[in-house]
Amino acid sequence: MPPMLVIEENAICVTLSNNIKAEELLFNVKDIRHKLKTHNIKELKIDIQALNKYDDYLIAAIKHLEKIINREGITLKFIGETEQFTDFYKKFNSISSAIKSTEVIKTNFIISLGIFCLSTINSIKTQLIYLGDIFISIGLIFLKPKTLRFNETVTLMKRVGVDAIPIIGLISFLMGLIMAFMSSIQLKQFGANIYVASLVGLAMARELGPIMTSIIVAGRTGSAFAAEIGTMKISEEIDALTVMGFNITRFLVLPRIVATVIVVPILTVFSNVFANLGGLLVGIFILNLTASSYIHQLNTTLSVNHVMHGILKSILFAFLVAEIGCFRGLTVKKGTEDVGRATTSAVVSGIFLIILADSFIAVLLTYV
Amino acid sequence: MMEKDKIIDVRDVKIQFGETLILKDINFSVYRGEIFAIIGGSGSGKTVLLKHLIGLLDAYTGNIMIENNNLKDIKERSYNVFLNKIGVAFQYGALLASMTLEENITLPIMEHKKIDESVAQDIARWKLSLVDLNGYEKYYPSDISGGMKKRASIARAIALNPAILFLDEPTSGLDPVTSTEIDELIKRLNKTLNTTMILITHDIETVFSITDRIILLDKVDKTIIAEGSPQDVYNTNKNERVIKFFERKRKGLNGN
Repeated sequence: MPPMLVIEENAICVTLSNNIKAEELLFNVKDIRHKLKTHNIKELKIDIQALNKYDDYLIAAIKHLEKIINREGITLKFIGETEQFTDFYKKFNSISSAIKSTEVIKTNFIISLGIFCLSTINSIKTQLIYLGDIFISIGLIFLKPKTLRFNETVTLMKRVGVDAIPIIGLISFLMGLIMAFMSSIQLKQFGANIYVASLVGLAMARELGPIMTSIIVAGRTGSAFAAEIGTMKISEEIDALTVMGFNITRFLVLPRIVATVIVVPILTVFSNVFANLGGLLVGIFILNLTASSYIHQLNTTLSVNHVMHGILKSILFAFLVAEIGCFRGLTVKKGTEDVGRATTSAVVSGIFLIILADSFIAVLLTYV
Repeated sequence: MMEKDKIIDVRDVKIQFGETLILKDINFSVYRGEIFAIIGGSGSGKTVLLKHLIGLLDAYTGNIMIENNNLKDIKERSYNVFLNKIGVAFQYGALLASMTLEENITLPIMEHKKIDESVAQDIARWKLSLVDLNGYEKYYPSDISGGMKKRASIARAIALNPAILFLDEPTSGLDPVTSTEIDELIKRLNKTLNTTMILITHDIETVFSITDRIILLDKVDKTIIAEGSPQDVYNTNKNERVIKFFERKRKGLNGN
């Protein structure tokens, strides 16, 4: 039942029935305040004689009402309060007002700058240590082949490589198709139809093959590595491995990097083959070339050098993608949110590093 | 004394995941206002049974009646009303990591009650004080210890003053002092709010100090092997596996 309002000479009396709900009282707060204001009354009485069952919600609602009217200099008085009620009300009030918040260190620009510099130096340091550890581990494989967990590596090669063939095949095929189609429109004007084969073949072998493959691997595998290792970190699996005496880099990171570095060049070859198939299809059906002339043209333009150039680049990209994926996973500190952040960051920095490395190589090969 | 009003009635329930039988011939009732415990060793299906009682899992045959309504009907028609009436504290807390403790508790309040946010915050602080966590309102779950997370999750479970409170291992992994505090909290909530409590536990101390009735699930028989008040089961049940389950208690009583 909603509360009953009676306006007395110099007070307003609100009677609460036994089964009143907190919502009903809160609903009337505005009305009570309005009446107090219009009648210029400085006292509010709450009659709780009928109230013998109340919960913390009702107490919170009364407290809310008291806070609002107190602000306007109006006092609250209970009628028929029991000792039990007063105790509960006092206790509730004392807790609500004793809010402690987390301590925050006061900062200014200098302190912020210092914190930023220190954390940057720290993060560069951890990355260098991590990279060094990886290179030492890779070196160790040649001295002590047992360093590498062979079975794990093979399973990962299947996951990173074999499982990715359909998507890489499809995307490369369509890429080849689109490239051939778009260039054919221009080349047709000069009667240079046959050079579509050279264009698709060269572009895929040297640049687009390795880049496309690595970007797909970054999205598929780099993210998976980060999520996997990040989850292991928050469920204390990494701590467990550490206290059992395992080196995390050798146990978790090394198999992932080795597996990726082995399969990505193979995927790149697949990618090249499928893209050229796409080009061939356009050549035959749109440019009226024969299959043999297309393949012959491809053969004369493409040398082993070009293909090797792409494959070597893809090895570097694979290393970068796997390395950054695992690293982001290891930086997870707490909570599921951190895992999400690490996964996103693994993909973004993976792709960024691929493009950066590719530009660097392009410049290097032109001027050196 | 306790009125004999069945709040939960489970009849001929059999739980099976594909080919694997988890529990069979499960029959028991929980009366309004009592503290009821489902106990049993690891892997005896306690948590699975709990998840069926709250409608999270649905791999059973037979009838689960909640306040004389079939759970299957409730799930189809009025699951939200039902969820409003129950509170669940999960074994590992299950607090939302991206929110502070206060936000974790105001979340269900704001969803189900039409009240101002400042009132909801007051209630959240009050609930936290009930589990001895006042002052930690602005902390994130990752900033506090395991026992504190557990207490915070109980605070969240009682946020809506539920009629039935399900507690999955409320005292596991806690120190004896905190465990006793949680036992007392459960008892106090049961008294003041008349909340029916359903605990899952293998903490013998909790069972003997606060529960009115227990059922004991067995991993081998895959069913209930003992039912009644803890003292009765402890004193009179002659089943070998029941005796074995209470062995630690017996040793403790003999002063070893």
